[in-house]
Amino acid sequence: MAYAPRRIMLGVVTGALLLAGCAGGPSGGQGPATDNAEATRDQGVDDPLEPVNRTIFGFNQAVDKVAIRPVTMGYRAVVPSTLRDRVHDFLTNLTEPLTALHSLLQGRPGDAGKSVMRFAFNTTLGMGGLVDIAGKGGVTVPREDAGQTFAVWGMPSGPYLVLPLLGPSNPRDAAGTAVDWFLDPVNAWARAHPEDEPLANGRTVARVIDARSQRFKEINELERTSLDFYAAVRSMYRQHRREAITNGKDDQTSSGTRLDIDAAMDQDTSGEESATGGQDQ
Amino acid sequence: MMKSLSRMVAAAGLLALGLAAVPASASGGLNKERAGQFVDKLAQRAISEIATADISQQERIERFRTLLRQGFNVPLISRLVLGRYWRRADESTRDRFADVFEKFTVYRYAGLFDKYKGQELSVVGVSEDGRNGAMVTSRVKQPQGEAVRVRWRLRPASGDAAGSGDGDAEAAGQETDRPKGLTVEGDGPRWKVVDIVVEGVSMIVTQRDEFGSIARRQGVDGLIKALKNKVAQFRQDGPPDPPEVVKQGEG
Repeated sequence: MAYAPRRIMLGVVTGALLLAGCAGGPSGGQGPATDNAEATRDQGVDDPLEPVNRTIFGFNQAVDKVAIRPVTMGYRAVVPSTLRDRVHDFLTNLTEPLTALHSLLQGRPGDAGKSVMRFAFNTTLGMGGLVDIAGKGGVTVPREDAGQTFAVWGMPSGPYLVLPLLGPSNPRDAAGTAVDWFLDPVNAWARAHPEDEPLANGRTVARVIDARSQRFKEINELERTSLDFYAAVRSMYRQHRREAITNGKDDQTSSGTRLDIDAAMDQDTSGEESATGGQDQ
Repeated sequence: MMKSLSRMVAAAGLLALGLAAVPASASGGLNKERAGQFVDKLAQRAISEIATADISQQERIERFRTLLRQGFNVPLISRLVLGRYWRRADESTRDRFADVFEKFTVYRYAGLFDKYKGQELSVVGVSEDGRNGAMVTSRVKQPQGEAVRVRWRLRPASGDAAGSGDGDAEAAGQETDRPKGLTVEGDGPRWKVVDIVVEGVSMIVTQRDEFGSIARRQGVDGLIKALKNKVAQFRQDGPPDPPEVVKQGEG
């Protein structure tokens, strides 16, 4: 879905909320074994392919500018927001089976069961998934994909990658994307019924437009106000993927420790730069 | 001590009765239970005084600057977003960076108040964070779409002096005009926001990575220059991003 991170979020809220950035996909590790490595990697850049990545990023931006953004603008102009929400729910419902599978593979059968339930309810009472009635009823689960499952299994993310058209990634997430593409029920159907292939392709296009539309202004705004859009997206992608992998249970170790806020405050109040070792490698 | 104990008991009583709107885990003592209220108040003020107020763009910017200074530890944030480059920078470079960073922040975000569409913030939890700190978890309900999880990392307003009242520690340091904490309820504890984390994405981490990418290649002076250019661009652009009109940035 273009360079657009999966869940870009430029806090649109009360101005203060807006102080936060947006977000995208992958990186991050799970469990004590990878925590340190992951933290270290985040301090550094771990982007050995940066020149190539930047080139591809530029290409993706151009594609966004001439194709994805205009089409998304048209979509937003023509289709009212309540209908766009139905489209979003419908597309999300189609990914529910994969979320169920990955929750199970990550050792969370409870969430897997919830996903199955969500799929059953939303596909029937929710009119084929057009309405996320399960979600409205409070049954929600974190979205899962193969990249997250690999991370939970202990696979390292590898260096940052920007894929043509697909956007921010890394070897682990790229493998995950390929696996999910293969496992996806709609794609599997299209493989078995070649005459229905346009359906699968249409779904793919719809997903790109829906993803872009979900955070339309936020992405535009981020691009406009960034000093280095590439670096900002890279950072957000990594952070957001860590959040996705840990399902938000890693806040303390993620930004808390690495920021060394308290050490900085000490030095701040003493007004003195004490050499406290590797605070900020 | 007695006071904090009795407050904890009172809080526990409220929770038991199901009367507490904010399920703050006040285990850390005096300040924790107020952290959620601080964030709530901050959001309310942002909405009523800036987002929905019928004021000029210039006035909006000024009010946001005031709120930013009151509610956020801007000197600390500007230091954290500079990361490792802070230590290598001399005093005057740090000052120049802090100055332009605040301007950048004000202009970058003030315009976003124009886009306020009735988002509502509700505090869903408070936990301890670091030393003397608090992490307030909130959910921001969007007009459409899913609610967004926003976490607020707070530290006592006057450095180490948690609950010391007037923040006299500030006067001692060399930071001359560091603003005082936002007083939420009378003489209550004063907090300041040091970071906002939206769906796992930290504002400080993101900006540190972005700024570092520029400082690595062009030095801190190059970064300061880039920030100045951006501020100039913001001023020229006026209110950012009128509805649905796509701006091309710098092309």
